[in-house]
Amino acid sequence: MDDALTLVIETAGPGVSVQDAGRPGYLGQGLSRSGAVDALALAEGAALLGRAPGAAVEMAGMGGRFRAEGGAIPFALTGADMGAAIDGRSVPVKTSAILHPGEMLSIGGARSGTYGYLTIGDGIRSDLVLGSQSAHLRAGLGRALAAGDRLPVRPGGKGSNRFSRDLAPTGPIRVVETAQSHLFAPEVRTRFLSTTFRRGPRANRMGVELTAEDARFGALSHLSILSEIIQPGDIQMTGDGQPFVLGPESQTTGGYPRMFSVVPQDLGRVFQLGPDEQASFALISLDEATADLRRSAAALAALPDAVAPMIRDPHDVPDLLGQQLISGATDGEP
Amino acid sequence: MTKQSDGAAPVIRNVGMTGALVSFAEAWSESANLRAQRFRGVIEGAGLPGVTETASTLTSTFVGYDPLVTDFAAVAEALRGLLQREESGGTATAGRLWSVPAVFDGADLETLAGEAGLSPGAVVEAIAATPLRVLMLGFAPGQPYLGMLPEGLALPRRTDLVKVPAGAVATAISQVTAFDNPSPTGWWHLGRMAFRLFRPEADPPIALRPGDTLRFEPVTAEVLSGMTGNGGATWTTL
Repeated sequence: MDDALTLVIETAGPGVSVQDAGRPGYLGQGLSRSGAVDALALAEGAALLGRAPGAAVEMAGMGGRFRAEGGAIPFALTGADMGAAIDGRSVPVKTSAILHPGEMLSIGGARSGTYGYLTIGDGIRSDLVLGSQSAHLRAGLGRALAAGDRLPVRPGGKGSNRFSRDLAPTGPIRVVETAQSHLFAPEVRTRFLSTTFRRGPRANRMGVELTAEDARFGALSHLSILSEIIQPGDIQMTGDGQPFVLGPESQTTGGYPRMFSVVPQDLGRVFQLGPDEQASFALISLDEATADLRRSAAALAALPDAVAPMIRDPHDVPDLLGQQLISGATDGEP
Repeated sequence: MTKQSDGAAPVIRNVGMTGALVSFAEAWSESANLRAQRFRGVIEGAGLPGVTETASTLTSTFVGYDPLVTDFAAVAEALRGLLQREESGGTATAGRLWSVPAVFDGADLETLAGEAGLSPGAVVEAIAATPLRVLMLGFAPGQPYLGMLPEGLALPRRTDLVKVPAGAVATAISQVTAFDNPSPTGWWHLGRMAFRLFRPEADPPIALRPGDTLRFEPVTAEVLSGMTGNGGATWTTL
């Protein structure tokens, strides 16, 4: 298997790991589901390669340098724009391309967004642990990727694709009321919904801190709350009333009260907030949120329809006359 | 503070868009804990459409569902139906009695002894003599909330955070917990065990179940240092 298709990690930022859709089903045993923080970016990577969704390399804030061994590896870049290039040739985010043996793919620091995704070939050949390939760093399942690591790649996937339309939702981050909303006074909830936040310095796959000037959101009875089940998206107020949006690697139960819960279809946007980006929250009903989630799931399933081949700049095409630019315009030889 | 009396109608609330929480009490209650664990068994046995997982916490039963398949209103209605039949059903697995070797050499044992007006040795004896139920698993994989300690052994949560080592056994609010990995905590450090709560390579990876009972068996540091993996933990059916 020496010539097996492999992605070689030459260098890696501190928060690079393999993530798929995660491992639901272990909440009752204290294990949160893990998985990609940005489910849309994960699905986009697979769609750009023309393959089924699966595991990708998630890069928090900083990418790394990668080489292909044993053949060329089609790859897609989605999520945060990290200024990627192959031997100095820029590869735009939200496209797929091909990494050939002998070339170096360099992925830098996030220029917009926070989590970048490198999706490779027809998938990463790593073992399922409790039904998932996702690392869960806090639980000690898997680990962060580091220099010298080698990821076996399943051959397949198509390079040179882009999206013909942008599917990323915009506007305020939508939230629903949740089991502990009633523990907050109505005016405190209203104040939260009228506050513009920034991503705070304490942010990782467990959760994202939200900061704003003088923004503290205390519950009515902070100290007497029993530890209760957490779902990703829950907005928890710590002891001093500081909001955190909890993520796929959060603790499974907690005694800090939770005011609202971010709807799953918007959760990736919270984790993608860059250091200088702002976010505000809008409350919608559970019925609205469920109807929208179903539309969003249908849109996600239709992602492959939004994929189109790259339109190349004619100056970059060495043999323009040899290319069949219009179907049927040459003499019909394949 | 509202405290539901036992037998009061449970409250069903949504947890975000993906879960329903059936709360049998808003404050700690042993009977609510037992009901929550038993009702989880009822739900597991009912095979409700769209339900993806269940859990029990200190006084609640949680039902996770797929919002593409069902919604909160439908799940809540089904749960109300199951609550009507709650008394007659319940397939909760019989609890097991665990014996877990531990060394009681933690930095806060003296504090607990001082609070209780006992010698550290008498505190360890009292802990070892108390069967501790697994009230819930949560926070980290396999991490148990065990209780309750005898009345004299209650310390409030501490106001600062301290770092405890892997295997640490700690207490607060009459409960006991244990940590697989070095952790910051607001609980009081009593000792340590070699029993690992989460072993991904083992089957099952998480040994303890809500409803199990655990007793600590005091051993010397020398004895504990020879124990790995299951850490000398053994169980019998109750």
